[in-house]
Formats: sequence, C-alpha cells, structure tokens
Amino acid sequence: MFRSLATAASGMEAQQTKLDVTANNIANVSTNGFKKGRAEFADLIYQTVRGAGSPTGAGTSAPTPTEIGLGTRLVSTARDIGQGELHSTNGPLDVAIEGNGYLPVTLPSGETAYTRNGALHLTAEGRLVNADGFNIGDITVPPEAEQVTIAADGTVSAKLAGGSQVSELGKIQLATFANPAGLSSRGNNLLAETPASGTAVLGTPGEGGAGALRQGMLEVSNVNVVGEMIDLISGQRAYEINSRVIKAADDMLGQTAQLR
Amino acid sequence: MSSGIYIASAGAVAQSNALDVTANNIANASTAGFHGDRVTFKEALGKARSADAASVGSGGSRVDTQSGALQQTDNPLDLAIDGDGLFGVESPTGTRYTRSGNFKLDEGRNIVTADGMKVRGEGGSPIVVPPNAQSISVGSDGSVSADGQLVGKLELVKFAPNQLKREGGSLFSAAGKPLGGEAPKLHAGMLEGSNVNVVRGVVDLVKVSRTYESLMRVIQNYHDVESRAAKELGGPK
Repeated sequence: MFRSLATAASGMEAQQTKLDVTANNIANVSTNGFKKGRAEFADLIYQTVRGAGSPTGAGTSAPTPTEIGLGTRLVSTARDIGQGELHSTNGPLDVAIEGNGYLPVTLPSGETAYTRNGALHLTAEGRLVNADGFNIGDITVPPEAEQVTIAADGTVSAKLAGGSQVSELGKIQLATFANPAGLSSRGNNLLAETPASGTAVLGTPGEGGAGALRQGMLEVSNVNVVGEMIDLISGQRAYEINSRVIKAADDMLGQTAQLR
Repeated sequence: MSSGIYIASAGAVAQSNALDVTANNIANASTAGFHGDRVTFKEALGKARSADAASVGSGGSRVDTQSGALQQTDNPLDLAIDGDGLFGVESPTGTRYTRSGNFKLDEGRNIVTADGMKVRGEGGSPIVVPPNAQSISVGSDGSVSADGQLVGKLELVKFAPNQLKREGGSLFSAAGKPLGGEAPKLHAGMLEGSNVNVVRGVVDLVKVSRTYESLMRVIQNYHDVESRAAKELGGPK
C-alpha cells in the first residue's frame, strides 16, 4: 500500500492539533494574563532508498539522496511568554506585572501555583485573594482601611479611616523561573512548577530580574486575533489538502485493483 | 509478452513514489524550517529489454533549498536563517544540523531545540543564558546577548546537499566538514515557515494520479491485446 495514506493522516492529525491550539487561543482572547500557545511540528523519519554519494557507476556517485519521508509529528505546544498589553482599569486591587515574574497563589491543598492575572479581591475577612478566592501572599486589609495602595515593589499599604497615618500591611512577592516557558498550565489562569521550569525564586518586584507591579492596571491576553485567524485559515486549508492526498492514493489503489 | 507492460509498471512504481514524496511535503506544510523534496525521474535504458524501449526509474529526490516564508513571532529565541545554512545541535547520537530555529531555554538555561537538544555554540559548547537576565537578543551573525552582555555565538554552518542526510525530527546528519565561506545571516524574532507550496502540492497530486491512471490503462490495454491474441490464435478453429 502507499506510504502516502499514513503520511497524509499524520498531516491531518497535525493540522487538527494546530486548530485545537488556535481555538484555545481565540477562546482566551479576553482572559487576563493568558499567554498564547503555538503548536510546533517536526518531520518524521525518512526511508532512504539510496544514500547521497552512493556509487551509480564507474567513478560517478549520486549527488542527492533518494529519501522518502513518512510525515509529521507534534513536538511541542510552546507558550509565548511575551508581555500582553497593560490596560488601565483604575481598580485599586488590580495589579499588572511589567516584566518577568508570576504572582504565587496558595491553593487550598497547600500547594503553590503561579499566575499572571493580577485581578485581586478581598474576602469577608479582608484577606487578599485572587478571583477564585485563593490567597495571594499573607495580607489582610482591615475593614476600616480607606485607600489601599500597592507600590511597584509590592508593598501593600493603606490609610485607616479617620487617621492620617499610612500603615504597611505586607508585601507581595513575585516568583521568577529559570525557564518560565517550561511551566505547566493548570487551567484557571494558574501555572505549576515542573522540572523543566526550575524552582521558583521568590523576590521583590522590580529587583533581580522580576518585573515591577503596576496598580490599577491589568495585563490582557497576548493573543493576536489577526495572527490566529491566519493560522485558522492556513490550518483548515492544509487539512483539506492532506485529505486530498488520501483521496488521490485511494483512487490510484482503486485503479490498480480494477486491473485483471 | 510485450515489454511495454513492464515499462508501464515501472512508471506506475515511480509515480507511487512521487505520490509518497508529495504526501510528505503536504503533511509538513506547518513544520518550521522544513524544506520539501522534489522527485526526479530518469530513463532506465540499462534495465529495458530492448534498445528501442526505455523504461523509467526514480532518479532521486532533491531537497528544494528555496527558503520558506518568514513569519514574525517577536519571540527573541525564534531564529530564521537567511539563505543557505544550518544550526548545529547536540543530539544523543552526536552532532546534527537543523533549520528549525524555534529554540527555547531548558531548566539549566541552555538554549535548546523544541525537542530539548542543546544548540551548539561556536566550538560545540552549549550557550547558557544567565538566570537573572531580563532580555535575550540574538544578532544577525548569531551572537547571543543577555541584557546587552555577549554570552556566546551560535554555530552556523553550510554543507553541500550531497553531504546531508535527513533524519526526521527536522534534523540532518552530515558527512565530512562544513563548507567554508561567508557565514549565513540570521533574523531574530522570526521563524522560517515550511517552504512547501501547497498549490504546487495539489498540482503534483493531480499530475501523479492522472499519470498513474494512464499507466493503468496502458497495462489494461496490453492485457486486452494479449487475451485477444490468446483467444483468436490459440483457440480451437
């Protein structure tokens, strides 16, 4: 049977994966702190019919090889960690990270996850949490606090009602990684440490490679809709053309089967 | 038997190889840095049964070295080679070469390929980016800087096409020494797309399947002629 049937099937599978990744990017175009993914492919192995440089006669050799490739495979769905745009929201508890680094989030299980989404909230007890209610640092804002400010270095302070004194409530730290692209996605805007990412290094925002915090801003998704649309069109067409290869191989096999 | 039936079947085998090559090209339409193959055919006189009837053989597949379209990604470790040239890569089985410049950092801050193989710097050692570096930039000559400090230079080589053997995973193995001469230039923040032209792929597909169909007709005709000869000449009078 023709190798092309399996080869084209690997191409269709690759384009389907590309479409899945593109669909997830487009679906998350409004997710704050979302980093777009990109499906990356590599060719499969080759069947060498005749190697380059093998003799073809007395004193002559093949200048080019005869190699038949067997398709394509997915190598990674890399995350593009490029900075998303910062949008001004004027929300006192919205913080965007300008530069590298992730906000550490303490999950109910005690594990730590990391996020770029800095839309923070307060619980009934005044604890600083993310949208899912997980603790960000260990900071409690007293109910009588008026103006909460988050400085570029992560210092959270508030002016208490009636008083003129500004008191410091705590500090937000940022985690940086040797290889942030190696973090694994856990959904809910959360990322988890992996052996490839290296261990988290906690530090003060704006120092030692960590980005600075910007209060009243949110980092929007770094998905570029125009680029995704182009990927969508090219992926869909490439899928279609791979299916035509299968049709052509099928027609050819049909013609062969009709010989008698 | 007429020798023509063998000529037609040799043609059909050559066309089915051409279909396989076209299928591989189209399957790799989204593989960064992939260069498609083109099949060439040649007359196989020596294999023909008589001097006036030449057969066809597959002459080889030739890598189409034309560059693919550059796509802007703005990722500092996405690198595209302008013109001829390859990056050196340290694979578990020795030094290999690739054109897929979608590089990443690993947990040791080495520059690696999408498959995690270390990319060779000049002299063969991997390039390590300091852990607290805020920005990485790669110059057009392959020099890698972190926060403006030079940390190494990527190995960029050129080979003659007959020195290279495809290994899959976008890698080539090379026989002999790289060619000298001017080093290739890089574009950072760009990726070279596959150079497969899907329009040409579809045209090749139509051509291959139609040629195959005609060859099948030729075989069928020989079969009809011979069965008639057997019936009319060999049968009872």
